[in-house]
Amino acid sequence: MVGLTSSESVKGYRPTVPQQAQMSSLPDLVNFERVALRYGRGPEVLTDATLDLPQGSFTFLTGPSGAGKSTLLKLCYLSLIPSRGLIRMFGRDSALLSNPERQAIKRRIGVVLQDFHLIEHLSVYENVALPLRVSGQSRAAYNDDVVELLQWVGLGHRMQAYPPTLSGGEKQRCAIARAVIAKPDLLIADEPTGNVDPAIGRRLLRLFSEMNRMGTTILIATHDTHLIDELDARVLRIEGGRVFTGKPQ
Amino acid sequence: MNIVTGQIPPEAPLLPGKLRNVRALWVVLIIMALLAGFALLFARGSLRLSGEWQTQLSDTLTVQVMLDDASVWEQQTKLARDTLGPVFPGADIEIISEAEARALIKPWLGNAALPENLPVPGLLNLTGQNLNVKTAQAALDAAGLSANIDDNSRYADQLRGTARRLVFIGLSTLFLILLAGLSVNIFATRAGMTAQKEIIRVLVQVGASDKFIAKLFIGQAFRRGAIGAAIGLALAALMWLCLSILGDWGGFGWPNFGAGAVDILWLLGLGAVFAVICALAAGVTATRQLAFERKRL
Repeated sequence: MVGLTSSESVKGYRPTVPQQAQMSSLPDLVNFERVALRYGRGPEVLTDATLDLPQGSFTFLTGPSGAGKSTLLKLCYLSLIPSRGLIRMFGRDSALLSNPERQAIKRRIGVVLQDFHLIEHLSVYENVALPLRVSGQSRAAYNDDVVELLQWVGLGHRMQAYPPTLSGGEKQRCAIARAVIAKPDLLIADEPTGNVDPAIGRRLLRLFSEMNRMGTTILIATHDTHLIDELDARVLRIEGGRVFTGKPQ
Repeated sequence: MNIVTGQIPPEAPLLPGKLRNVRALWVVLIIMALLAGFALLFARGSLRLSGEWQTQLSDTLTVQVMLDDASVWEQQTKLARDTLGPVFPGADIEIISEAEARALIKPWLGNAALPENLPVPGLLNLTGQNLNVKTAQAALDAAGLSANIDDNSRYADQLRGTARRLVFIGLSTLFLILLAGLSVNIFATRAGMTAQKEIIRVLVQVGASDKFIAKLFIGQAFRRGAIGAAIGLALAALMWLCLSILGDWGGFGWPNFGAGAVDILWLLGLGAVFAVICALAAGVTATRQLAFERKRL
């Protein structure tokens, strides 16, 4: 269970950016200018996609299945390189990033994928601690944070469990905990409520809202209109490979 | 908030320890280490045997006392012995009997009976340390004896050449086995990376550098190489010990505890080299493969 209430906060998850009222003056974390992408010699999945994600914003990305939502997210978390166009991440042209710079930026992005991508031979605790371990932190330094976060997302009693023994909702929360443990500046989630029942979906949405309130920029791809309706957040939609602002009609 | 630190499991390796088909790789690595151990022990044994033979040859001299008349055989031979005795006080001087000397000549002269008056050279074998051809020759000349002295240097040179060739064969085989070990580890690392691509994808996604991921494969390959080498080389040492005890191998096997101890030190060094080669192959392959995958994006 996600044991989160609006008044709770987690140690270390202090707001790092000013609140919503001041956000218009903040620089964009992500900026796409006429970005296109094609796989191999196939047709363009994205065509002239232009968008920006201001620091501290909460954005839904929606559109029909196969419209290119996941592709756009992959471009955002630097898993793909555009066929043409310009992507700026944290003010840097992504095409000019060296490999270490690219990996350093990736460490500032938390990603929750549809199929979770948990490592099966690692326990819940180890999966969640992975970003911190990768960044070179010692176990002593991150242990308390990991334990506290796992309890915060309601997995305190499942720390020693392995992913194959978890329910869909538990896997989802484990993946989310892993995505947020390193206190990312940007959290990207692809259909985060796709595999869970509506009640857990609402709890997860509350978790994202709380994180956003603490300063994390959120981008969630979903085709669940109910989810979008629950929050008064910015909506981008993809149609025909192009990105538009506003909810689908 | 209640921090339940007692429930934290021990830090697990990021790459799974048990992989499918890994037993076959273990068998290959152990056999390679075993063969590498044998190649090294063969080279070391050849060196030791050659050294032993050369020592034996350098401690002997053969003196031929040339005679004009067969009737003075005994007198001239004894004179030679008495002359050389004081020159080499610690040496053992043995006179080869006339009959034995005749028997030695016989193969060169055919099956017919040798004439009684044939002047068969007087033969003396000297065994001892610090024997010197020039000193012996000078003493015999001073005694008025005509003599040829053979210090076996021709055989020693041939032995040295043979030993060099055997050592070369042993070391070349060792080099080829280590090269094969390198190739096997390159192949194993590629296969491992393919099998664990999902884990690598997650690691890349959470910001792991190529160096970090390569280190995981280096550690895995080093452990695999070290354990494979330990088992394979221990088997090689055990088999060599059995050969030394059961067979009459002389210096080629382990003639004493000291020789065995030195060879085991060499085997330990070889084990370290084997493990480092495994790690090196994994590191280079993983780094190149990650760079290749990134370019393919």
